[in-house]
Amino acid sequence: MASRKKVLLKVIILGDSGVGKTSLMNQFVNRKFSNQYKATIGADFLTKELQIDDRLVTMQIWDTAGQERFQSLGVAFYRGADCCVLVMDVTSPTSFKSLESWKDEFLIQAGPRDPENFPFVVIGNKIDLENRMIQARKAQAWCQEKNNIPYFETSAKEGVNVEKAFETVARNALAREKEIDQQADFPMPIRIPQQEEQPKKDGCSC
Amino acid sequence: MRNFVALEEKGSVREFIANDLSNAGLRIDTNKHRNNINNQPSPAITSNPKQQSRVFNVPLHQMDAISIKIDNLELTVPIFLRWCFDCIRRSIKHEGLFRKSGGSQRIKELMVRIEDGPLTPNLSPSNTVFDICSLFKEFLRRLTYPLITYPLQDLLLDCFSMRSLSSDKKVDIYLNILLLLPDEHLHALIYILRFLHEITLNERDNKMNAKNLAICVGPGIMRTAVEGKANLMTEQCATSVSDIVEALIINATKLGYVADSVYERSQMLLEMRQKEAAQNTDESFAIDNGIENGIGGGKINDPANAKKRRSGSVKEFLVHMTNRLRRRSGSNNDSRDQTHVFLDQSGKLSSSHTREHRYHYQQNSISGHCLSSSSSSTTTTKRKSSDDPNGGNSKRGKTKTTEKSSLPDTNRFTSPITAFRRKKKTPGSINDPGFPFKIEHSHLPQLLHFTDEVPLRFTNAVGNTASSVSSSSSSSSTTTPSGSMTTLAASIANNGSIVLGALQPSAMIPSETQSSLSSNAGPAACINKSLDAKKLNLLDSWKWPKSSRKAERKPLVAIHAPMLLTSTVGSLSLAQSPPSPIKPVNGSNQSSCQQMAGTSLLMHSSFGVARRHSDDVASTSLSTTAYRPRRSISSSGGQQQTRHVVCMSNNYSHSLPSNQQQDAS
Repeated sequence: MASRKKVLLKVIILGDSGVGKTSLMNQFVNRKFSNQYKATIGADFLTKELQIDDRLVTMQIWDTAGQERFQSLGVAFYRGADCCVLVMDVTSPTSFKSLESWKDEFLIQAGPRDPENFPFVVIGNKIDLENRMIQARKAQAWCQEKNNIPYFETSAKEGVNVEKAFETVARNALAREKEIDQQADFPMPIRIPQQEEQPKKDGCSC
Repeated sequence: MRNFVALEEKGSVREFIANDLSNAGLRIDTNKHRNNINNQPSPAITSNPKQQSRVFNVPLHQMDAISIKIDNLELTVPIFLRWCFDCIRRSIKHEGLFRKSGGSQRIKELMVRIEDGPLTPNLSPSNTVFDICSLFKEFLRRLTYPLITYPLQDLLLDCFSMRSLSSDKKVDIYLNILLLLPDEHLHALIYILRFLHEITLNERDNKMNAKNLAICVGPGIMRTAVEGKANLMTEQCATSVSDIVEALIINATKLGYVADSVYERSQMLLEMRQKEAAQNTDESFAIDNGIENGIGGGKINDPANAKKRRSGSVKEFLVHMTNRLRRRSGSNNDSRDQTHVFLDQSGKLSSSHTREHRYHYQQNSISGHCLSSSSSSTTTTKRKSSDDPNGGNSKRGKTKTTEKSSLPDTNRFTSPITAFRRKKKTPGSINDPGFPFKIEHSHLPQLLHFTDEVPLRFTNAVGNTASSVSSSSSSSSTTTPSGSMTTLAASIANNGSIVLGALQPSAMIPSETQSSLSSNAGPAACINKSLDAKKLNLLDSWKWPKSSRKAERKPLVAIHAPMLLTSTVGSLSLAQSPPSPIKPVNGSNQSSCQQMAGTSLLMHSSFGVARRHSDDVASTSLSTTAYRPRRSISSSGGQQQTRHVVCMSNNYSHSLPSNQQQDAS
């Protein structure tokens, strides 16, 4: 039974530099927020086990560097992803605008099956800040336009909504997993021409 | 520290730096990237030949530049850069400078405006400071040649990965490496690093410390090219790059200055060359700004420069010099030394000996040139200072040439042994305490124990020292007790007079350098733990002089020091010792002198062999290998050399008595 199987979900977090990708991951996995302001090099991942309904899933969350120069490093990790989290900073219009290109970039580099329905989740981070520039309505509209991507507003600093967002990530990834599993359950049968079984002889054949 | 940017003649300084680096195992491989470079023409030229780019996709030296003065550094930087930084400076307290990205659409617009319109466009209200930061990063990425050129990036990364170095030392080396950059690149780099440094001063507000900045801007500054696949970065490499750039940002204010010791040495070389050039118009001796062409601008220049560069290298220079000296003294038929132990062609020791044999030996010994000549100049110094009235009448009559000279004592090219003999025979100097060195006989077998197979400890020693770099900028005053042999190497190499003294007329060596000789050679009190200190303990056999006639003895350090280095003496403590370990040995002056000289030569040659055997291992002592003529390495076979050495070591002690007899008679 598939549900008894331990599931590993690979999740990639993408977004402009400084939007809070690392902080989101840390908040979700370690429930900690560090005031340390540190740019990420390359990519790194943390894992966390989650109970989704009756299934135990292990989420492998890949945090990537937002610096454009490190993108060549990141793409290697895109492959085999089950879900992609696009993060923007609600105080930075630029980061909202680049969501589109991040999404496209991911689909090109990861080359998933059925890209139309690949599960994305958009997170608007830093809602604790006052100088908000992107209204929820605007972001929501964009997400609906893109095949109804779920949208969450979070604060990695205060831990608002983070858990919920990642749970959705896990659920969507799992759903996709099932679909693919179902496809995999019925692969094209390979017909092997049956050979006539030779009658057994006594002793060895030589 | 001296202002490097303001120097008129940077070539020789760069040459020295490159040489020091090379001796520390950091070799500049211009060939490796030459293809890469040629295959990477400016995109602007290939894609759109008609439209002339002004800022993006252009080599740095083709941009409109402006002169800027920071501290005492007169920098010539692209106008674009200044405009960029002025814009950013206005919002220097913004959080995430250079980290947060600007709007890609706005950046593109700005780029077009800069290319088509004024170089310093007015910003529209929609432009943010992050747009400018991104624009700057884009600028770096699009430079035809990366800000830090590929060969130097390799050097930096090589240096970074040397584990034996402290981080302080590494920084010194980084800063030296960067001086090898072409001027435009160096100026721009200084300007950029200083600006980034300025940003870190506002870290409280903008949260960008050196580490963050290095991660964000580092990949632009060091556009690392992995062989074959340009611009592909591995994560390991990315980490190294950011660490290096971080160190550079922190030390940004030190970039652009060169250590006094390096500068002095290079000036001496320069002066010498000028004299040389004036005297020898017939000899084609291409001294061009070798390093500048070959390394710094190596990427920009075509491969045709490769040959040129070589001809300007110090090594070549020394080879040339030595050859010339040999020729001269060969024609100089006034002198003869007949009673000395030298190797002849067959590898045997011959007791009656002509000049030719001697030179033959020198040719054979890998680093013989360096040492021999250094001791010869040394002796001359001594002679002059002792002001020996009878000098001119000495049997060999060689003093003629010596006294002649405004022209250096380079006219006289003698083996150390000859030099010592001459010294000894000069009336009044028989009891000269400055002369002989005493080495216990019991030490000789160990010292001379070299066979075809290089003793393990030697190869090890070579490797050890090679991995620990002696930076040229870290003058001997910075040597710490914890330093290993290398510190000695550094201190000696930093002192120009030892090495340069080899070919310098004694008169040309500044007196302060001479006096600093002793002090500089001093602070190397160190134990190289990896060595068997007891076995290699040569120093124990040195006896320090009691006499106070320092002036006469100082130059002898030149002989001692390389010896110590090459023999990898474990525990040596020059620091507390008088300048030169000399003891008068009554009656047996000459023999012990021979012993010393012979040993020193031997040490050198055997060292050379050791080095041959461990090919990758970089050179050890700066003084011995730094100026070892390249030719001698390549020309004579290692095997043969080894045999010579062995032969010498076997027969050495036997030959002594006969010499003594001759001396006595």
